[in-house]
Amino acid sequence: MIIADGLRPPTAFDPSAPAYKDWLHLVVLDHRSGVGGLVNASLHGAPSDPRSRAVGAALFHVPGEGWFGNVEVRGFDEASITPTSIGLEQVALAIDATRGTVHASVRQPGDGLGLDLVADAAVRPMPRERPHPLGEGWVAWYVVPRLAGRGRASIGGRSIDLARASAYYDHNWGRWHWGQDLGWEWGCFLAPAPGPSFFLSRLTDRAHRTGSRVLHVAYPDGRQRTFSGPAVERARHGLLETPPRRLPGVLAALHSDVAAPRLERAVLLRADDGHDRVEIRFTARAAAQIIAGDPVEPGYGFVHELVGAFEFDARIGGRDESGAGLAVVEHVD
Amino acid sequence: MSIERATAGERGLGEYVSALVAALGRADPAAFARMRRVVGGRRARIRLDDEEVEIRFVDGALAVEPGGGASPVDGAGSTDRATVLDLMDGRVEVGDAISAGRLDVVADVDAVAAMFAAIEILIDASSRSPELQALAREFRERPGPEPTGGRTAPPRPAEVAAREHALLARLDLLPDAEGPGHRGR
Repeated sequence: MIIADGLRPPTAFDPSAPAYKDWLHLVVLDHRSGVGGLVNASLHGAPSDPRSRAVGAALFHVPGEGWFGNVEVRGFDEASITPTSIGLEQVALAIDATRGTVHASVRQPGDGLGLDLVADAAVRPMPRERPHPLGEGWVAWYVVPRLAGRGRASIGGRSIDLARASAYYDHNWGRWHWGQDLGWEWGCFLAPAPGPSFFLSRLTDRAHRTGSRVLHVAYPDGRQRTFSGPAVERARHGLLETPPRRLPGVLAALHSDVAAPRLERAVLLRADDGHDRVEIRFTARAAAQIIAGDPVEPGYGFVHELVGAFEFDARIGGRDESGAGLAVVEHVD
Repeated sequence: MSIERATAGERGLGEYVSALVAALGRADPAAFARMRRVVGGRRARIRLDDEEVEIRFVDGALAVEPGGGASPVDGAGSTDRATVLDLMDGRVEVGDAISAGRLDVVADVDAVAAMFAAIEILIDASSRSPELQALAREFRERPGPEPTGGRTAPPRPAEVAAREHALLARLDLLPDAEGPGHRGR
């Protein structure tokens, strides 16, 4: 299966280049151990601007133990950037388009995390390359809703075989400045293969007052289904009491006013178009807050990652199915 | 208490603080001016492990002197390298570090506010300054005690969070139902 994806840098005379963002995102969920986490590699700012930053983030949550991993921030000249990869000292992500694989590497021994993973695309990718308005700019994306992992992770001193792990990949790119009136909600919910993967997306403003939700369902056998607009409902229940892991620590110190964000403990998603329907019940067990500082315009975005478990009931194409899995839900403002 | 280089090729505390403020001035002159306004004529003592310096602005420039001098200071801050690294890595929050005695700040209310405001100006500017980020990396890479590698202060107890929530509710300061809970951004 081909992953026809790569970085989307601005052209040499693109006046919007200072707002350039390119973000590779891989979620890894190990159903056997319950470990869930993410590996991100992203670019912020015009490639020719020495202020522009390459950011690598690797965060994995172990049930009963907490978060492992960290965030690193480098200049573009300190990163290895190719059309299909971003490599920093501690975190690297690469796409092999023809083999249909995503490669992730993490070296954070001081933070208890190491990872070498190759994830094979297991369902048809979903490109959404038409720009969507976001803040004063726009965003587009490319999604592979399920990949099959192979490799190993070293987390908190334990070695985890990722042979049965599920993974989710997406790539967001566009033009925006952190701190603008923008936000989004997103979530990936993966049952163990050959079960379904669900992912939710919603672009919104900073207060999350606008924007409609889209819920996608994808099966390894090729079935895919999309619910959108009023067919998708979301309800939040309770507050997650555990304080989030906040990174980078320096920016966390600057933003003590958001040290205790009101993050949901449980989310109920319902999608029903009168023919097919899905219900997802997600319970968060921990959260991390990644603070993104814009390298050009004064401003910050707050990326909240909630890891947890979910149960689902679905009727797709006349077939009823129920199950459970692991999930990561993201709330950005 | 020396402001000279601890070892050959390595900045001492005084030189490091001078470098930070100078880099701020180059990266963001407006932020540097705000820092000078916020600090005013105050004199502060900074202690990191066994190094201590006293700093103040004189004629618009930062003056750094050895600690333990005869002049009174308006505020004093004290911590160690391991705590700074834990703060940089998000393993401990500022409030937790203070509660655990890993970060000491002694000053009247106005001086405390000025000290933290000056630090916040520096941190905010660092998001857009490769030079300030390089100085942060230099601090991390210098030899010395390593970070603790784990959370050293307990999270805020649930009953404290509940009391805070009740107070905010009485003052009608709670946000709307949707959203993570901060306002005005």
